[in-house]
Amino acid sequence: MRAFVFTEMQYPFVDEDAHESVRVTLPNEIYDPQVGHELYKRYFDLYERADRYGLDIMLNEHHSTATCVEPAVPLTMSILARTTKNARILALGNPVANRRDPVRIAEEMAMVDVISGGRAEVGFVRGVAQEISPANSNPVLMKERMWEAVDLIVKAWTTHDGPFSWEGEFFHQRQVNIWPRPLQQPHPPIWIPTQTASTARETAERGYTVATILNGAEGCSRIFDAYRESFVATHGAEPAPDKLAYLGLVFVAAKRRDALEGARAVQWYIQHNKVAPQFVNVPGYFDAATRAKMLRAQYETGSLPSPIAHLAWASIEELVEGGFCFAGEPDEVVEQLLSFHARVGGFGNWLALVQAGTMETDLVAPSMELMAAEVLPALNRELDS
Amino acid sequence: MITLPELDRDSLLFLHGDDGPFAAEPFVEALRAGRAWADAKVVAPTCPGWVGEKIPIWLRTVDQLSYHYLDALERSTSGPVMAVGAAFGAWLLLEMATKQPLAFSALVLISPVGVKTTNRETAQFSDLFACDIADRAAALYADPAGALQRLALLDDPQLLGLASAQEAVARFGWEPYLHNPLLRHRLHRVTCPTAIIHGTEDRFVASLDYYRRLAALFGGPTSLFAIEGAGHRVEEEQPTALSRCVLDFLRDRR
Repeated sequence: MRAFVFTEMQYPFVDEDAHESVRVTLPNEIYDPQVGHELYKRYFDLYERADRYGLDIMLNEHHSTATCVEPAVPLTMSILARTTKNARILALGNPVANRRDPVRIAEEMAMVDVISGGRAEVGFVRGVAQEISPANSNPVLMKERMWEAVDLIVKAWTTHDGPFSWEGEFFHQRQVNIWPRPLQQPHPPIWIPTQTASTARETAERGYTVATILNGAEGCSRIFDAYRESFVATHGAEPAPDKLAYLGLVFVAAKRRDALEGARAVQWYIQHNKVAPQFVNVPGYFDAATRAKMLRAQYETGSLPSPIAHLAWASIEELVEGGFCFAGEPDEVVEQLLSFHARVGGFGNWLALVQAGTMETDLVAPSMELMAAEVLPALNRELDS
Repeated sequence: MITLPELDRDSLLFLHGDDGPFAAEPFVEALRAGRAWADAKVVAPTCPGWVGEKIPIWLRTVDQLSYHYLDALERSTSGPVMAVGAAFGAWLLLEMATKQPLAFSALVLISPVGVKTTNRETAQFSDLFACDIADRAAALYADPAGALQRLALLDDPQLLGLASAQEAVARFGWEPYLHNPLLRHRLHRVTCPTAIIHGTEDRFVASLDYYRRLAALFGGPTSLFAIEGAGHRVEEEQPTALSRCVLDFLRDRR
């Protein structure tokens, strides 16, 4: 099992009640660049500490939002490629269906891979619904566009005998011949985060790593089962554990009471994600039957309940029970992870959301240290035995 | 892909608007009930993509769609026809008429989209994909509260139809938003008598002047009509008054 730590790099100083949405329409006059400067120092410091503790790093990218002030994941990756030594640097992911130039993404990721000495782990994501307007990306046929972009990037990474052309359904390129090429051969590991079984199946067919986020044991099993079934059907063998990844909230402390308090601070992440319904219920992003139900809710109540609303104010004990959170003293967290591992049929990548809101590094660092020094070794001993 | 029944010079082709065939039903019924001449057949096909069926991945522009409608029209009639289109359907008619001007004896465009007349920093049309349901109703209807009440009463199949229709609009009209930048440069090819009809309370367009500017781009005689008590979705809010206006215009141009 590998452990990747993650923060969404939030800008937490927003009065949500005063605004319709903290995504898409929130005016950036609310963003104080001096405060932002200090926050970036906090977040990069957190990741650099994770590297020193022996943990790996997960990053992501969102746009026009206070929930994640990280609009260019290649930038964060490239900084950490220089300031860390050993950590795998995972982008989960590049929103390829929303970017117009896949070859540029191939170049960016190859450059990060070379700078880091071959530590890039490259995720590709269709992108969440609320990113569609800021990207002005047509929500119809997004998945088809995503897979074509991924195919083009892989070809750009793996073609070394001079230029090729690409005249696809969505992307046209001539003289594709990237410099540098990736250090890892044939290319960096590819990850696809998803919340749907259909994308999990397509990911398995391609042999890429699937990741699912805050789905709980039940939802995670649905994704992993679909992945395994498709992987076996395509490749004739069970996928290795490192082809499967799960993200939950995490806080580890020497005393249970402190761990629960820390986990409640991480839960802030779920509580502060206010999005206007029109940026969620986007035509074409969901199938029409799903959208019809969402329209019913909007017309009848004027609002759209979040699919994770029940998690926002649940007790930490409930979140742990459901597999949304791993929190407690090191031994407890090991037990929780072993139980989750058994419930979902195994996985090899533990993605840990360790920081949210105003949590400072002095609070988060000891949790990460215990993850690295106590939880992970004990977990791997148990799994190996 | 598109099939039409046999049409003749008295037939009337109606292309529905953004929300699909069910939203235009009262208007189509009013057209049929109020037909001003014997044998006037009203043909109202459903546009590919509007009922959620799978359509080819390459079919995602109104320009391309218009060729398939012209093919269907060629198969169903040998002479020019009268055609009426609402919003998206009017855009489709303009694409067709610029390619085959002689296919039409007269056109009626209800709240047409498809053309941009504003500068690059002024959106021609409200961004419905960024509107909550109240703002969306305010942009589209003279009586937003009444529209919201009607929408709340839609049954499940109607809501599914609306969701499919909105997806089709996104497919064909996401970017450039509800227009083809090249279309205005060939509108002079529209030479048949053409009526533009809009609601007096249309808040979906940047200004009502849009319709006058659009009319000035056509190559043939153009009439402009405004319907009281209607916003952008004239066919939904004033189906009877609209059908009367349409039939009055067409009666003299058969």
